[in-house]
Amino acid sequence: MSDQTLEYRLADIAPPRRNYRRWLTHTGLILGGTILGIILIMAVLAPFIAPFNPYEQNLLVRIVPPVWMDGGSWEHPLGTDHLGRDYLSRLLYGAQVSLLIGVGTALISGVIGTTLGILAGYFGGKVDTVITFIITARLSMPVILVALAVVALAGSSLMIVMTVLGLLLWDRFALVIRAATQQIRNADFVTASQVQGCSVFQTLRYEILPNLMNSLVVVATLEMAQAIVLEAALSFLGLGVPAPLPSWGLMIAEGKSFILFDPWLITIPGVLLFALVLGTNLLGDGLRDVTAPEARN
Amino acid sequence: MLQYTLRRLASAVILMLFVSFVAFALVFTAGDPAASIAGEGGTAADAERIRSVYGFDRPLVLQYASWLGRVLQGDLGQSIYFNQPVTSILIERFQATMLLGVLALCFALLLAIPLGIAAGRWPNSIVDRVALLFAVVGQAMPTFWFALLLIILFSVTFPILPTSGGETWRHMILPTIVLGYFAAPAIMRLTRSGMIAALETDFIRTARAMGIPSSKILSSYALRNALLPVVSLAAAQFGFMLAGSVVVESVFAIHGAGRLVWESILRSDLPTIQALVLCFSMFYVVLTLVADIINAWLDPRIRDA
Repeated sequence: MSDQTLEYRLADIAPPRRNYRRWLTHTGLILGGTILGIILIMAVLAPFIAPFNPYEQNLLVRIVPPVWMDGGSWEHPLGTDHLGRDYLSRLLYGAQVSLLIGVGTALISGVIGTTLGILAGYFGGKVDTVITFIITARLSMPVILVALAVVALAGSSLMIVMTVLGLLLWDRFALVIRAATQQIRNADFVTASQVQGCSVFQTLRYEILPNLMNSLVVVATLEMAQAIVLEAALSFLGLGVPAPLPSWGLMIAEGKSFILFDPWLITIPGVLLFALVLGTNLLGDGLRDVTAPEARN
Repeated sequence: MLQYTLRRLASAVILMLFVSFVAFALVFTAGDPAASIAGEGGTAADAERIRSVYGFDRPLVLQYASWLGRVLQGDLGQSIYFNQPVTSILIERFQATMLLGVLALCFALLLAIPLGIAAGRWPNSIVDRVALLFAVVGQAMPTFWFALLLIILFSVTFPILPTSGGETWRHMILPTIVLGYFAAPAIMRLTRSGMIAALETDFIRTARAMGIPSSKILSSYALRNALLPVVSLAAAQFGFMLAGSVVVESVFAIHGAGRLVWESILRSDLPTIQALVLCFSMFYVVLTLVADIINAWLDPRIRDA
């Protein structure tokens, strides 16, 4: 891959003007923030508002349809799954799994990607060549395939899925941070820090990093969405988080056998997954528009 | 041009070597390969025997060198599950995957480029809003869920298309839509922004001032510039789609390489997994290489840089 494809269109790294009206009038930002907020509340309050224990099986009430369908009742507003577990409770706890994976992955990949990107952008030359090569190599390995293989070999658990995805999804962080660092490495305040005798670490940590925060938040949000989808896909294929855990992807996989007669088993967790990813993406795009509108494309 | 091609080729070869090492080492990083081949019922003695049969007791670099030597001769090893050469299995399985990938790419391009052009030509119009909605939804839709929704729709509501298997062309329609829609939003957005940027350039203003009809400006001047970056993106998306076939082929029960990935992983068929990771990565490297060369050929600014 040439440098051309690696080049991300980036904002000027001038300090953002805090124009809060722009925040409040951006539809995508508000919508995305609201969706993400609701799902966050679901996840946090799950232990208090879930009507049942999400792991408790009751074979007497297997596959009860949701309340708006024939045979549904308010006892189980969203029905029960093939083992008689309350669907609403599992969905609420499932929000915890998705958000945990999203945040955990973004943290791990953020640390790796930012470190690589900042070093490549600041030093340039050979360091840049080597790091760009590593990024290109990483991009040519298909994420889902490598993640499947590693999770299968290392055993599946929430922690392992998070770590594996974190170790794989740092490429966008590295590319964006590299480009952003290149733009400011010759700025006066960086030179000032250098001639004052600050160490490289101090310059990077106190002069460069704070100026990358806008880009970092945007990429972290978008990476979170990607991690959530990938976890769901891995769990759907049976190689993500292990079975009794209520992951939305896993719930869709379990509902697959009942696709003909009870498609709601698939559509309900799918709608939530779709909403979460949509909300996170909208928030990320919105944050980019608001903090760095020049980067929009 | 020749110089650029050679330079680009050299870097691709280095990249391939590195990626092949990672593909090879992958199975060693995550655990003891002998233990996974021996399976749950395997004893320590079994694992020991497997270790010496497969040569896992030798240094990693030596194992890699002999593996690479065989790979270069077209021998990807012996599948543990099928007890056949991996190469012949892959050749058979990649046919369906390639067909699906090409169909999906065509579908994505046919959908995304006209939409992107229209959206870039009239920013903030109704067309632009629809295109944006289409992109935002597409980027948030998990492929496996979209696939299942289509299965529900076509097997229950109106059963006019087969929802499982890959024997006839009609079997390929739904998988093509799923995989194509997954790749389309990025292409659409890039076409749109390329179009907007191209229409703002000085040479377009000059062309307008000269009285060249706007249809001609749009189709021959703006479009060419807008589509240049799309070539690289389409190549990258094609690579991602091949990887995405892992999910799509599993849902639609298509007998392709993507489904083989999943099956081999469940069967701990390590030589096949290694070969698949290698092949999918190599495709990506080759695709980006070809895209870069096409780009350089189309745009002299790149090859002279």
